[in-house]
Formats: sequence, structure tokens, C-alpha cells
Amino acid sequence: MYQILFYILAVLAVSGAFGMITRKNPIVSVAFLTISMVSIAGLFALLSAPFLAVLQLMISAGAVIVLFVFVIMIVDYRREESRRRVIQFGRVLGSAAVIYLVIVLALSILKPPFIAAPLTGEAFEMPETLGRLLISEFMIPFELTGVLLLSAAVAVILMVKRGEGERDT
Amino acid sequence: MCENVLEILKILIILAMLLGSVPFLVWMERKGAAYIQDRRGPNRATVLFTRFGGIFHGMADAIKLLSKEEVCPEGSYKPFYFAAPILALFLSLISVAVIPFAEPLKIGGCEFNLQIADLRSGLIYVLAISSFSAHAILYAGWGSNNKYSLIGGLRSSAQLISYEIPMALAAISIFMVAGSFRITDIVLDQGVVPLYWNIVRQPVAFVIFFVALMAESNRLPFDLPEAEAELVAGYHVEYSSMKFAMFFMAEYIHMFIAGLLIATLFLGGWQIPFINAELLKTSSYEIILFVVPLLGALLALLGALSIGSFKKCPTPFGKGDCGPIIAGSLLLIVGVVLIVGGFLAGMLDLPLWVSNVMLFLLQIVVLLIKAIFVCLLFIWIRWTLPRFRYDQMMRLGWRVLLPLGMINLIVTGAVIMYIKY
Amino acid sequence: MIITLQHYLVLSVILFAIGAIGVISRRNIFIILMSIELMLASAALAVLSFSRWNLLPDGKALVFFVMAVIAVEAAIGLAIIIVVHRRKKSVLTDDLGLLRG
Repeated sequence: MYQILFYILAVLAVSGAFGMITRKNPIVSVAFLTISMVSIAGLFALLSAPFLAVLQLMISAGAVIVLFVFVIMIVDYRREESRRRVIQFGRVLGSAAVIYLVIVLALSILKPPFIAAPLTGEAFEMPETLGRLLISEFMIPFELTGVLLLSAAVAVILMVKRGEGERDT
Repeated sequence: MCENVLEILKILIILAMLLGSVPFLVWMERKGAAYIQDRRGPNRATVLFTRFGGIFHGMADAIKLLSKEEVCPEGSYKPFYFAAPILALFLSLISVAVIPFAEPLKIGGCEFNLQIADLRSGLIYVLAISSFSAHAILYAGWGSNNKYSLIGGLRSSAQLISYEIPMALAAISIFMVAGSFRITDIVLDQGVVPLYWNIVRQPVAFVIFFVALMAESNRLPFDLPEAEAELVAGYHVEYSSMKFAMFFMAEYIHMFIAGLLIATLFLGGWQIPFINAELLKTSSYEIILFVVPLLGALLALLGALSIGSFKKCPTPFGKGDCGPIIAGSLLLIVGVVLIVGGFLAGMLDLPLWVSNVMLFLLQIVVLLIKAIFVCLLFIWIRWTLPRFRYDQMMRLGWRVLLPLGMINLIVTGAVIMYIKY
Repeated sequence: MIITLQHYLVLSVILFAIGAIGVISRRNIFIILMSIELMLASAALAVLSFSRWNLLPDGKALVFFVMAVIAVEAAIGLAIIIVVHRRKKSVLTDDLGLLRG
């Protein structure tokens, strides 16, 4: 059961990601990214982190992607990538470098021991464990995350807000 | 062994309950609208000389929608256009998975818990699904290749993102009171006395949650995504036949789940007011002997009254409404059976599981009554208040509900600190 | 056939690589931003699988911070896209070659 779920979710995640980078239309890309993000949330649940899975569903697959679709819809997305001013050579080289990186990483990863995941206790899965960790050991990063989110909100409003005289486009 | 069968069984039961709630809620909404607008409402659809106050109109609607022509607009993006209604219905159905309908029922070695998934982060799951459900509307709006649909979809996504935050803040104050994300814990934490339900302990959170849920289910004061006067019908203007029916069903199921959620989080869930479930379990004998015949007598009285009212409208068969006499005689029969059965059962001394099953059913009925009461509130508000303007809606979300939620959070935290330390 | 840590890591590497290829080869800013999201999510997946195999909940806290970063990155990125689109009427990187507005 676990294996079947893992393979289904893995295939969905990879095909969603692949679809995302190959589609022309950004809205279709977002739909594929949604599939990928939801599958990653499912993988989080398989890794016995149900709370983080639900958070992933809520933040990455929910709020962020809805924001993406919203902005793509209000921005003029219809202009396709037709002009070819940049030479293809750079892209091919870059993709080759990435594939090389994948091969190197895969070779370094695929080493024994190949063992199944150790059994987890009740405490490992509980959101409480994460909460206690966040307010004790990771207290300062946690507070800084709050500051980061607040400053991001302020920055976004300042950036997007129009001045008095500026015309609506 | 019994677990797997019961798992499938309970999913089927809950799905049937949700899908069956749609015609009932549609009927309730039409009747409610009619009474608020001082008219009778639907009362014409007749099946076998009976009307039951027009409850068959839902069936007639379903047949009408099924037999309509499927239209697919030109230039639409087909995958999104066809996936959107399915996604809408799916997302509104799966958010019921964490709602407990009753206390776990134990018969022999089997435990039957009428809750599909008892997640530790149950309420967050509901929030996640509701933030996810903007996708269906956005894709419907974009896929139909229609300006009005697109504007409807955009409005909907902005509305959902804006009201997600106050809703989450209200939910956080409930977490703080209950000390858990799990919905079962939140229900048990409230207890049986209505004075300790979350609606009394967290009135501000209740108001915020109620308004936010209304905004999330796109009902009238907030139905800007489908405002008829401005956008024809918003995101589902290009949909016809069963695809439209799916959006329609999704909306009503959303409303019913909103009712269930408010009943669960703020009105004590499946707990019967003032009566402790443990007490009922131990004193099964008395319940069967007293409560059941009493209920039977009540039903029989209702049935007799209903039959009595039939006399006042002497219509010959074939033209009139036989609803009262059929319903009345059914109620009378059930009532008499309950009276006789209650006495017999009391005398025969039935095993304990019978009373446990009865308690289980009673808890489901109590939860459903609470949920339907909340739905009635939704309907009442829908037909009383006019639609917000877009900027008014945004101002309500960001400038009223958000600060209110934050202040409520701080006050809740302070009170909890004061009580505990 | 058991699922080992290596399964998750290979999956994470593949997702990361697809994201990196997306960043390198696409010109639409939206898709570049989405690819960055995907890379962050795949990194979170790797961290979480390490945390699962070592039974250390610290990884979960890290994933929590990654999620906050994902949200911030999307918000800021989309705001920049809106501003750029207002100035240049384009969302393609080809049209955004100049260092001045």
C-alpha cells in the first residue's frame, strides 16, 4: 500500500513538474504545478508529517497558487515566447549542466545502506512536537520568520500601490 | 475484518447524507425565500397526489437539468472547462471528511466512528481545502472564455484569499481554547452545557468565522463572483445541464458543510445539550422505557393533527394534496410502533447495544438539527441583506474582520494565561 | 520492495532538476517563479525525508521555515512582476534586459 502510494505520488509530482516547464500558457503551467504541489503534500503525509502536509496543501497548493493564477489573469499573459533573440546555446548548456548535476547527485545518493524507514512513535507525528520545537529551540528563527512575513507584506503593498497621479493600466 | 467493511460503509453513509441534503436545502431555501418575501413558494410539483409543500421540486429540477442540452462555448479551454465543475463538487465533498457525526459506537469488538478521518490537524485540513476550492471557480472562469466568467473567477479568488485570513484567525482562537487541532477534541472540550460552548466562550470568533464561511461559500451578501446584476451569472454563465447542476450542488453542499462546521466548532457538535452521554449509556433501561414511548406519543400526536388538518380541505382524489394524510398516517404508525416497542423493549430487557445504537442515532440527529439551524440562519441572511459592493466587501475583510480577529486572539491568550497561571 | 531514503532523495533531485531546467530555459517570468517554488518544495521534501529516517523533528521545523519563505517569495515575486508589467507591458525576460526602469 505504502509503495503503491509512493509511486503514484512520485509519478504525479514528476509529471506535474515536467508539464509545468513545457507548457506555453502560464495558466496551464500553474495547473500542472498544482498537481505537483498536491502530490508533494501527499509525500509529506507519507513521511509521517501530516501537519506539514496539510500546511503544504494550504500554503503552496492553496494560497500561493491561487495568487499566481490571479496575477497571471490580470497581467497580459497572451504574448507567447516567440522572439528568439537569445541564442539556444546557453539554454542547452544550462540544461546539460543540470542533468550532469542530477547524475552526480544520484550517484552520490545511491549508496547502501538501503533500509526502510524506522518506526515512529506517536510523538513524532504530533503537531505538538513541532510547536514545542518552534517556541523553544527555534525561537529566534521563528520570530524572524514573523518579521520576514510582515516586512514582505509591507514591501508588497508599497511596491504595488499606485501614487496619486499614476494612471491605471 | 469488520473495519474495512465499516470504513466503506461510513463513507457511503456520509456521502449519501451530503448528496441527499442538496434537494432538502434547495427546498428549504425556496420556502425560506418565499416566507421572507410574503408568498407561498414552490408548491406545485405533485407525485401520486401528494405535494409535501413542494419538496418534489428538487426532483423536477434534477430531471430538467439532466435533460438539458450540453453546451460547450467556442474558444473555451476544454480541459479546464470540463474539469472545473467536477473539481468544485469534489472539493466541496471532501471537506466533510474530518467532521465527527457522533461518538464512536462500540458493538462487541467493532468500533464504528462516523467520521471518515480523525486527523490530528483536522481543522487546518478544512481551512486548506477551503483555500483550495478557489481553483475550481478560477478555472471555470478562465476556461469558459467569457469576460463575465473571468471577472467572476478573479473576484472569487480575491475574496477567498481575503477571507481566508480572518477565518484562520478565528480558528486559531478556537485552537487556543481547546488546546488541540483535532475536531473530536474541540467537540469534547465544549462539554454538554451550552454555557461552555465555544459560541459563548468565543463570540467574536463565532461572528468572524460565520461571516468568513458565508464569504467562502459565495452566498448572497458576498456572492460577487456570481452577481447576476453585474456579471450575468459570474463564473458559471457558460455552463448548462449537468455541469451547471454540479456547481449548484457544490454550492449547497458547501453551505451544509459550513453549517456542520459551525455546529461542530461552536455549538457543541454531536453532544446533546444538558445530557451527558455517559449517563445515557449506563441507564439504557430507563431511556427505552420512558423516552421512546414519549417520542412515539409525540409523533402519533403530530400525525393525528396532520390527518385532522386534511379534513379542512375536502378535495377529491386526483386533484388535491394527499400529503397530510400520507405523512400523518406514517407518523401515526411510527408513533404507535414506538410506543408499543418501547414498552415491550422495556419489559424484555434488551441488551446494552440497542440503547447505544439509539444514542448514536440521537447524536447524529442532534448534530443535523444544529447544522440545519445554522443553514436556516444562512438562508435568512441571504434573503434579508443586499449584496455588498466590491470595495465594501474588501474593506469588511481587511479593515474590520482582520483587526477584530487579531484583538480577539490577544484577548483570548491573555485570558487563558490569567486562568492557567 | 521497500521504500528507502534513496527513493525520496532521487525523487527530490529529479524535481529540483526539473525546476532548475525551468529556470534556465524558460523566458516567461511566471514560469521561472513557479520553477523556483518547485525547487524549494523539493528541497523541503529532501529535508523531511532525512528527518523521517533520522527521527529528528528538527527537519520539520526547517520545512516550516521553507514554507514561510515560499509564501514570501511568491508574494514579492508577483508584486515585482506586476510592477514590471506596468512599466514594460511584458512578462518575458527578453524584454527586461535593461538595468533601468
